[in-house]
Amino acid sequence: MRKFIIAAVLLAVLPTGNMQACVSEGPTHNKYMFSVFRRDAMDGPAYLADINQYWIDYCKGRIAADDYDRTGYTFYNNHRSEVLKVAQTKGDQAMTAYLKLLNRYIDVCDLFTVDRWSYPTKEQLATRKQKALAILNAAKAYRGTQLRQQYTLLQMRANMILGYDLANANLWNQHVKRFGKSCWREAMQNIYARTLYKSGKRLEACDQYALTNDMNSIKRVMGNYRNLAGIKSVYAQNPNSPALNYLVQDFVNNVQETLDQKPKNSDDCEWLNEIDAKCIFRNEALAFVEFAKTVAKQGKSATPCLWWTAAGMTDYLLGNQQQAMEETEQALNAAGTQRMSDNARAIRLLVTTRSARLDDAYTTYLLGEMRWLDGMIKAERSTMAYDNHYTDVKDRVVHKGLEPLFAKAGRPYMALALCDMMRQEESAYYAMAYKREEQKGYSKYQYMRHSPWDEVFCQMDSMKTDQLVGYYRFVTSTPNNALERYTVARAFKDDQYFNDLIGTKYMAEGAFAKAIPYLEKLSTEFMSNQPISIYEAQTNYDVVRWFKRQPIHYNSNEYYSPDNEYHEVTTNKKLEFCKEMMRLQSQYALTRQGQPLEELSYQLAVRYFQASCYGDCWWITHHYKSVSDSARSWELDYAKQAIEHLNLCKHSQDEQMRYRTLYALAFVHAYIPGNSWMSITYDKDWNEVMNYRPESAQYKALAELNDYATNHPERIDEYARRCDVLQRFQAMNHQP
Amino acid sequence: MRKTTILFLWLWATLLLFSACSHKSGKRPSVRAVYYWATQFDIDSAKRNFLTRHDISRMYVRYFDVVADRSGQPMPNATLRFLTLPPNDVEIVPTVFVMPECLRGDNRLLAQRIVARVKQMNATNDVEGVKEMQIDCDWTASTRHAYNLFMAEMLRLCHSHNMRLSSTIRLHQLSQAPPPADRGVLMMYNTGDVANPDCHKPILNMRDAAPYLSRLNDYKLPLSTAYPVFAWRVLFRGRQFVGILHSDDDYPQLPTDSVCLRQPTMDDIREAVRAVEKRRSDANDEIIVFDLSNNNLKRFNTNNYEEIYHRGRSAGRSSNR
Repeated sequence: MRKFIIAAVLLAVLPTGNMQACVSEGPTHNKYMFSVFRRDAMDGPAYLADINQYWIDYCKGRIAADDYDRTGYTFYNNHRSEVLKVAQTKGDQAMTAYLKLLNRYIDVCDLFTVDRWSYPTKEQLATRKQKALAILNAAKAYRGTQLRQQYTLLQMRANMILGYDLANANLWNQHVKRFGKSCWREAMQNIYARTLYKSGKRLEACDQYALTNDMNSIKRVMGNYRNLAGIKSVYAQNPNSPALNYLVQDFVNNVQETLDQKPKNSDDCEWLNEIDAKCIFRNEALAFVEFAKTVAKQGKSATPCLWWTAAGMTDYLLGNQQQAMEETEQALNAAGTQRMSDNARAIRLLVTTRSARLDDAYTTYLLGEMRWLDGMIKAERSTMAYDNHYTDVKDRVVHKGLEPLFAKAGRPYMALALCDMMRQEESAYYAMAYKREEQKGYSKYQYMRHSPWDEVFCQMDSMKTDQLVGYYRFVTSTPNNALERYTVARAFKDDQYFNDLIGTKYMAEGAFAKAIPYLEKLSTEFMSNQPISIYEAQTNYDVVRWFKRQPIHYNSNEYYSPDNEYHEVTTNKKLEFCKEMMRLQSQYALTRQGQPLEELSYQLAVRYFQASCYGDCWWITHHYKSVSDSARSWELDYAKQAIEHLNLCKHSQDEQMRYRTLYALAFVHAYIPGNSWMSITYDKDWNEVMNYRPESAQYKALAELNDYATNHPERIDEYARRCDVLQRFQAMNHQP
Repeated sequence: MRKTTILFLWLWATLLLFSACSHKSGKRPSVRAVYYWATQFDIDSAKRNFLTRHDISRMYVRYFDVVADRSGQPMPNATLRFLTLPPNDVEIVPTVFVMPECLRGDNRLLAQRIVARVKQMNATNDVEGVKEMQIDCDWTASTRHAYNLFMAEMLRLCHSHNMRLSSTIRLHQLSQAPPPADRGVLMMYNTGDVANPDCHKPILNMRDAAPYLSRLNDYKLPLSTAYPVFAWRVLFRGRQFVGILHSDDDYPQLPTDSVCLRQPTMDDIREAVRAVEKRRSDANDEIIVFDLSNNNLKRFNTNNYEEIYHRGRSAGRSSNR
């Protein structure tokens, strides 16, 4: 929570109105939609994943692969000696011999990849060459069939580090290209692509890279072709160049990135360059649509599906909805690879969300597509990470398409449930994938979200309490519509969480009686595992804030330690506050004027201020705090209530009460935006300039306090005398 | 009358000879040098002939670039691969191109790394008799301080290894105080805006260079001068600059695109050599041609190169090829 407060303090610089509960930039959900390659290919050649999987499978039951082994494709490197032992244990002599040679190759490679600043000596160069030659000869000498592809790959790798590019080209053309499809063959094809590039055959190299799904190499080789001219030029040379798949995908996603980042012109593309994207402006995007449609109709491309989809997505991005619908419709029926057809289907789904009517037919279609996406998410997943291309598709379709569609149709609960469904799917996946191993020792409640950075919490926090009650009722119901059932089944509905949220919001509205039934249901375990628990445990609402601040003691010096976020809470202070306020309000209503009424009024003021967003017990009415907070429009203005009660006491006959109240008002007004007695500006030399505001509420309160202090110095205690604000006020008035 | 005639002829011949001698030897002959700016060091017969024919005694060889990696750390890049040994009779000046953004970090460490790497490259590739190192950096007013700190450390290290240190000086850098170095090499090229389709001479146009040369005489660093013999093929789409073509397929080319050849003429180079000579003749005591490549060797003939090395004075018949 402490870290959150720091973050929240930063929010103070943002202009905030009193209508918006959360002030959060939030996620943009602008995930790339266009994908005709495996996601793995964006991180490195796709065959690396396959080779990694080959070793994992070879050692199955003997070596457990962790997530690092999988995501970094480093299983073999991380377990070299163990894999060798596995081969030896299996009695796999052929593999044992191969692994020994492979390890020698890796050792030689390590010599090449030492610190780049360290240039090799003559002896080191000679040793490297000698070792590489020995590996080359040993690989060439293999006469078996079982590991022929692996040995040939080693041969090509040795050639590569020796600079024997011509030998590699010959090896590919004479032998390797006839090998059966495998990850080893793809690795060799990748080396062959490098050979082509080095010999100046850029486009041929790019085609080979495209065939091995090596996006990074294509990006490097085709850097200047990532535009419409590049696409046109490659198409003119070969309408079925595999490089086109990459260039088209890259182009469409760059159109999206450019629209998201909104650069003004080509000189304003620094950030896009930084993230390795390219600026594509509207005119070029429109020209691309025309070109893509021409290609799709021309009949020279074997994959018109790619081109129709690209035209459709680009038109969608440019806001040409009707054209986008027509083009994606064409794409669904056009020829292409399975991946291209899936891409067309996903983009078609997104396009429909902008203009569809939410009738039964459409929600039935949506449900079918959601289930299809769920299947694709599962099929695409190769590591323990949640994200893959189809989680991106679902994320964008739901957040950018369906949420606004349902909201616009007057179904806000469904819109919010959809939003929450996406959050929950990710949480549920990690909970399942990691079997909560990392969560041992933590309560399940610690994973509940109360942060203004969380878009679902933000939306719930911005609702009126009755709306939140309605939403909770919706997600715990069994709707008639199948899509709604699908959604609510995936939405979060923990009763403790919602009881707390609803009870707290009712309190914020001042509806104490309505809050009690919800707050009564909260367990101490739940309360102890909320981020506000550290404040809840250490602050009390009956402490008079203007005379005593309640500092928070942290358990750990480490700023981000969980010890600083959670604290054991033994009593339900929110409930106690609620009941006490009802009791005090009731007594207040029954009490006539005079000292008892003033005392009640003062006590109510103490509590209202402590529970306001400015008090030490802000956690009574909120789940987070920001320095720019003020009461929201649907809340009871607790600070205003405190002031009204204090105003009632400030003319008290009881001098002590009068002093306490005058002091309290001078203090409380300092917190209310716009009430401050002065502001500070700076002159041209950056010297402070005080601007006194006699019309302000705090100025008037300070004036009253000052008058009282001047006239009754014997009644003012040391605390008030030391008050720096009062001292400055007096100094301004030339008083001692 | 005959005696008088003979005496007159003798006097005339003597005067002519004196005049010719004073014209030719009034200035010291320039040291003749070339830049070698590639990723492979390969002195083939064409280059070897050039070096011999023109008595080239010094070669500034780009060893590697220093660029920032993804994490912002300075890293060597595009290191030169030695395919042939350096010529015995030519002094090699290892040259390192440093990107200005690499100067933000630990300059002392960077200098140590560069010197150590250059020395190891010399040792590994049998580059002997190295007396000087050069740093090439397009520093500006905003990076001058960092560059000066870096060069001060480079200078200290080079001197401790009995080497001199030189720095390239771009025309725009003449307006700033010189960096710490034993000497500088004035780059008389890249004077115009290559992206402007109306700028037909972006490599060398004395009209663009002249304003900077007013500071040449007062520039407080011994200078040599490098003159361009290279050319650019510049791709324009309409009036939009696309890029410089180093090979035909560097950029996609559409039928409506235009490729413009930008290269200095012999007149441009002659004019530049003379302009430097007039303002600060010692800056031509060493004349360096940028750069030694077979394409560039073909671009001008032997007489042209001789004329350049002769401080822009005719050394025979000259023509542009």
